[in-house]
Amino acid sequence: MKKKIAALVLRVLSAVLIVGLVVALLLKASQTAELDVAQKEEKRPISFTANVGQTDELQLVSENDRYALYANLCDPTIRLVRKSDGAAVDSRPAGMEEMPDLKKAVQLTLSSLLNIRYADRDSNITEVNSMAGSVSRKNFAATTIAGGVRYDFYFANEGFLVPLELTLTEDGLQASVPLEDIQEASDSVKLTEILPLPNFGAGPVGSGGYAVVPDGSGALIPYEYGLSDYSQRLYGEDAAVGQTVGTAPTQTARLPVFGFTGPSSATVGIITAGDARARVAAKSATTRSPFTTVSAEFIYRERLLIDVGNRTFESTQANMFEPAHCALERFTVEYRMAAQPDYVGMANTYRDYLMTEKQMTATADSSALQLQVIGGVMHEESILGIPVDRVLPVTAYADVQAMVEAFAKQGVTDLTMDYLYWAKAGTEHRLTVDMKAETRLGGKKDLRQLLSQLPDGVKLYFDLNATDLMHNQSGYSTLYSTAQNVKKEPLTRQQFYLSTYRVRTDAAKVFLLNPLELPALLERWSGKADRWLADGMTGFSANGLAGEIYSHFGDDPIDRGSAQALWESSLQSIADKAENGLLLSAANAYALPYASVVQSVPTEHSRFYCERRAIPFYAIALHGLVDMSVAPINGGEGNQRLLQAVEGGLSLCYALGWQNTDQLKNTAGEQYNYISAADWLEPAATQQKALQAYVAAVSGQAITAHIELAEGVYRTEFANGAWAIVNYTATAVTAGETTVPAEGYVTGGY
Amino acid sequence: MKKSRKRLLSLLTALLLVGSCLGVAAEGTSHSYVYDSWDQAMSVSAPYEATDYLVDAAVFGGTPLNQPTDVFVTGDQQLLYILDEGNDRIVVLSAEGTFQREIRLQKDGQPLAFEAAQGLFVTADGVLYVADKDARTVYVASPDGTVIGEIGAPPADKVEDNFEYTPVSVVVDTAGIIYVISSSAYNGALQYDEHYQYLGYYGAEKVTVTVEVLIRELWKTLLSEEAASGLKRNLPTSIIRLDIDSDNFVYTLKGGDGTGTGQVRRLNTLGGNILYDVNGEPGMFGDRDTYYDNTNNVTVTSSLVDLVADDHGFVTVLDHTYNRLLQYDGNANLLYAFGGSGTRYGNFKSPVAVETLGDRLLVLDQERGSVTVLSPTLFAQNVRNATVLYDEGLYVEAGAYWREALKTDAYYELANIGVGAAYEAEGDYASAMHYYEIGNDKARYSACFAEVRDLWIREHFALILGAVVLVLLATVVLVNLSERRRKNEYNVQVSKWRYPLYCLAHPFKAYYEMKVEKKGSMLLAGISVLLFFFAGIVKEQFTAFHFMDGVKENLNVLLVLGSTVGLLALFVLCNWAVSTLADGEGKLKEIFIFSAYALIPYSICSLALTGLTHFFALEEAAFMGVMWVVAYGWTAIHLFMATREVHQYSGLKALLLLGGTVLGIYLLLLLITIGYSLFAQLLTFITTLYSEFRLR
Repeated sequence: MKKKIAALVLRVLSAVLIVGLVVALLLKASQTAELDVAQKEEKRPISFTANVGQTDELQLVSENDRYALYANLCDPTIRLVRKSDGAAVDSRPAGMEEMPDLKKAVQLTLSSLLNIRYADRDSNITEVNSMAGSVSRKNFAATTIAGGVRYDFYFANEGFLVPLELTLTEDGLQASVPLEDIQEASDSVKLTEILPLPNFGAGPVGSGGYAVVPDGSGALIPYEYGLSDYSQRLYGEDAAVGQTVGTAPTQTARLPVFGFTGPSSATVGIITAGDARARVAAKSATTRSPFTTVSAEFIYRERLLIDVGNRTFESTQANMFEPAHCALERFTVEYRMAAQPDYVGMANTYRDYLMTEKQMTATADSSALQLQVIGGVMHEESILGIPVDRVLPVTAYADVQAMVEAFAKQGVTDLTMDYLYWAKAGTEHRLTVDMKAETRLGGKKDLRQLLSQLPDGVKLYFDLNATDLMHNQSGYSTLYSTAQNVKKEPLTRQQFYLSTYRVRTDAAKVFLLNPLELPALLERWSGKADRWLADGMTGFSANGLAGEIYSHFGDDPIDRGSAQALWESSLQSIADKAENGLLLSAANAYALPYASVVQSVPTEHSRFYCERRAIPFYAIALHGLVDMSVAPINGGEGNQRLLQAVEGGLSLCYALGWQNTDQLKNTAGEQYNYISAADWLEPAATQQKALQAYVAAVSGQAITAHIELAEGVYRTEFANGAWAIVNYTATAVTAGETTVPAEGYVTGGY
Repeated sequence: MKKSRKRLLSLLTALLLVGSCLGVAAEGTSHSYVYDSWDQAMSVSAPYEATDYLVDAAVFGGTPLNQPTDVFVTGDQQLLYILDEGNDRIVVLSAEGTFQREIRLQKDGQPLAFEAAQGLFVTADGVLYVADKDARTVYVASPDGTVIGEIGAPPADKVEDNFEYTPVSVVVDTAGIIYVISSSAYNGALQYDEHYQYLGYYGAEKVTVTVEVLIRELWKTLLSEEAASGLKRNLPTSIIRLDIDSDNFVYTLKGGDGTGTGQVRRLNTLGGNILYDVNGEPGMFGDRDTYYDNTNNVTVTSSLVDLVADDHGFVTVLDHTYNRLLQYDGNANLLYAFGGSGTRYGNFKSPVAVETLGDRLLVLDQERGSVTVLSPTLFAQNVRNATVLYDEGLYVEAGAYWREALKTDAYYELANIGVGAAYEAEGDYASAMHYYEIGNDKARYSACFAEVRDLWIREHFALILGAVVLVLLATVVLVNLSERRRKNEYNVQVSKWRYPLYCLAHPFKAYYEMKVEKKGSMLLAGISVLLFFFAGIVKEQFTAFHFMDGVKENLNVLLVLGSTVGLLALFVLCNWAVSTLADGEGKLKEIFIFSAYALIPYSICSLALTGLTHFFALEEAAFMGVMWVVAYGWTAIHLFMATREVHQYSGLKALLLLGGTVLGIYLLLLLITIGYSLFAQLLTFITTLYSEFRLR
């Protein structure tokens, strides 16, 4: 017996030893054997013939009723002139030559028509401008084309050829890079970014002008020596790119626009193609280069920081690049000069663009109180000692009815409600493709009852989730139906520790659906939705699709430049479905044409050092084209958002929950720590009654002026003569004959 | 101990937490957060907002700040002084931020250049104290900048041999006593009288005696003097910054890695710390979350560089690792952490000093040469007002502010406790319990629970008395009846089914009989194991809130299974393995049955005691403790007897076997762990290889 046991123990031990040795050897091998990193380099010849113009001066290359475009074919520069007043914008700062202190290198940089960034063999990113890389060696071709001029810049040292077409349109100048004409000499030196017209309309220090960037609500960067530069990806970062370290939250750039003022004009740049692959960047003036510039940067190849070699306690990160370059046809920026030489003019020019190019139309007046109602969230509950995941009811279907009645009792009967977390398993993290009601909120029966009893003034929108899933469901698998990162791993939403900004590895995984699955998903959804429409559903919201867009880098990849089209058609099909249309929260520009209501309109900026203040660009650009509300007032600081609503002529909005609102910690609804209806229903009704008439008067109107009367005091004027003055400061302010109370507002003219 | 247990638990829960914790923070300029009782960071409303940013040269009299090192606000909150080290000057601004004048020190008519001026203090009459580290002196200058004295090194015979005088921070109390921090001094602050005469050390901290320290001391006595000098010296972490409040309490900030406790101390005139948390321990300051940076092979922690205390007892510390501010109340509770790195207003690049100006905060950024003015938001105002009232015992008045704070931060623990206290003060104990539960304040919850319970007992006293009498009577009757029915003691025939119960009462006899008569039943043993498992779950799930260690929703059934059934299996296996080597007579099956029977008392006690947590308050926890001791003792006796009888051992041998079993369990667990980690390595290796292939 003893011997047997001893033998057994010996055998087990030796087996363990052998396995251990093998593992150790394998590990050792994996560490030492450097995988063959250097890829076979393939050189491709670049076909290019230089074509340098003869006359070194600006010559007229195109004109129409409103504009004239001048170009220099020998020393690439352009000038856009508006015929009505002669206002001009130059591609290189005028008056640069008379600045003796300006270094030659800075002059070259400021004269560039196009900058590129590329990654060398070691993945280091370098920026080179067309002057230094191409023009100074006469390696470029200038040709006149229909409506304008085309420059082909050959960067001989770097091995790239990048064309730039500049043409006149009815409304201004169009700068476009046709991607199929780009040539790269090698596979290992990669073109990553293209910056057309980086110095167009550069603003000299001391001229009193400013640049406008789309940071949140929009922000001003004065033409002064700045403390930092500005650069933001439009529509937020791409989830498929991935971050390894979290950052403090910023406002997202939601509109593909930027602007700059000239001596007597204001120009707005609208990114009309490739916006999902673009950044807006502004460089503050420095003593070396006393000009503030703002321009679009297009991402030709996405840079991806990934973890490779993930061992037990360490990980190595490496720069990788998107395998294929962007699949779009063109990157295009359209420059239009505004009728009014300020940011209101710029925003209204963009508004005109939305109306003519995106078919947005003026809306009817509306003054409903807007609400975000939280249905129920998944949480862990212990039932007879067994912990289970189930929905914690916050506002059950019957509670919505009760809430509507409570508001009616307070005298508020017009409500526009976005019902979040209403569906099975709390909506978030479960695709709403099957439109199943949640039993814990009252089930199908209560939901039908709610739909049948809604009074006329109440518009209820049901939020849809078409992207996030946590478990396999309805034939969608978290392994095969999800988008993938460049490592071909299923894409998950990254979460970070608030304190250390490290990736949370303990959090439950939320997967993102493959963009290519969207059309089929909506097809399926449509069938299920029809039944609810028959039961009285009248509107849907698609906050997920409106706020975020991402790529898929796995097999059969689709980058988010192309995914945008899928997003738009999805939004279109949802919007077409219901009579009250589509409600969106904090919507990105691509979603706006399909929206009837936009809640949580951005009203703040990220407060970068270079920015002087926020401007209500978003609100001005969309005013009268869609119903808009501020972000929930009870989620903001004091009554700041109330004032922002008045300033932008926006409807009021509150986020409410009927019960269990103090139990949301550690749930998907954790951020709603302020929604108790017991605390907020009455104040919401009171504020709504105070402002209803004002909102009704201005909601369908364009904004004609927005003036800073004093620091923290703004006056907004609307097309019908209505006006409002808001005072964010802690002291009362007298403007003309009106006294505006501290942290208060005065309205009039209607 | 309790703390460490709690941390371990929270670590475990964090590891096991499969719930969805989505910190989808609202868009803003920074994350602000607070740690909850489980040391998990929870986001809170922004407490401070940058309302002013002083950086232009014009603000500072035409010259931008160059490497400024300290900022000081006078006691009357009228003037602010900036020690502009790089420009050898002190800039004076008004409270509104307008330039007043600049002061350049002169000594004997000559302008004085700083060498490494790091600390600045200004008295009520405008006398300046500048601690210059490299000049090894503290300059005392009149308001116009004329040096009127210097505070030099303490006399050599008063300090240790290798003392170096490198002053970095200086404060002066209203009596004129001067406190100087020398960066290399470990014995506290240097205290001088108003004539700059050295008085002695102040506020020295004793070395906490840990095992490590003891071992080092032991080595020192054993080793030669030369060898011992290479050992780390047992010194407390040195103080790096000082502050003083209007009541002449000196605050000290310790250097070091920002972990541990007592980094901030509030000292009385004798130099003793009076800043304690609610448990009476020196508070924990700095970020609790840390992470391991595997590129540089260091654990990244907070590194606190400055502190400021205001007249209400709020202490704000500045963390240089994350460029954050953390504000604490007078009980070392973290109110909120905010700020952070970045290129936005309210973010910092290299903050070196923090000061208060009224209820605002000033942060001096060395690299940017800027002063950021932060003003409290409505949320912070509510919290601060509430805290002040609460500390004065005005719970009801404080409750109004706490309620306001709760409107926008429903799970903010301090506010929930505050609202609970207001209800408690009003006598609404049931409501108070609700808020204390959300605020996770078990002591106060328990106190209210006791009130509610006592009230209930008082109301139903007659009923309870009646029930007790009835139960007693019934017991007497039953005992009498069973006595009458009782047969001969020696011929008791206990059926198989009643045998476990028989074991309960007769541990010394029953196991012997069981062995001899083979009365153990596999089925019953199985049931008792299930009961053991069930009792484990019930304990985790149904213990009253105030006795609960963890979060009941975080229960992991597998963990309970492992710690009950798994443990038993290990015990049985090891017991068998060891006993076979030591001539034990028990078979594996027998050992299992005997051990399972022996666990019945534990299961019963555990169930009963879990029920009792709903009747006892924390003050009466001693009773529970005693009962647990009884339960464990009873179980131990059973286990011992079962082991002894199953193997037919002598007492001593049975004890040795139990010891051997424990050792066996330990070894087995070790093997499992090693095996697991090897397997994990293999797995990561394979996945790495796979992803390499897929990527290439």
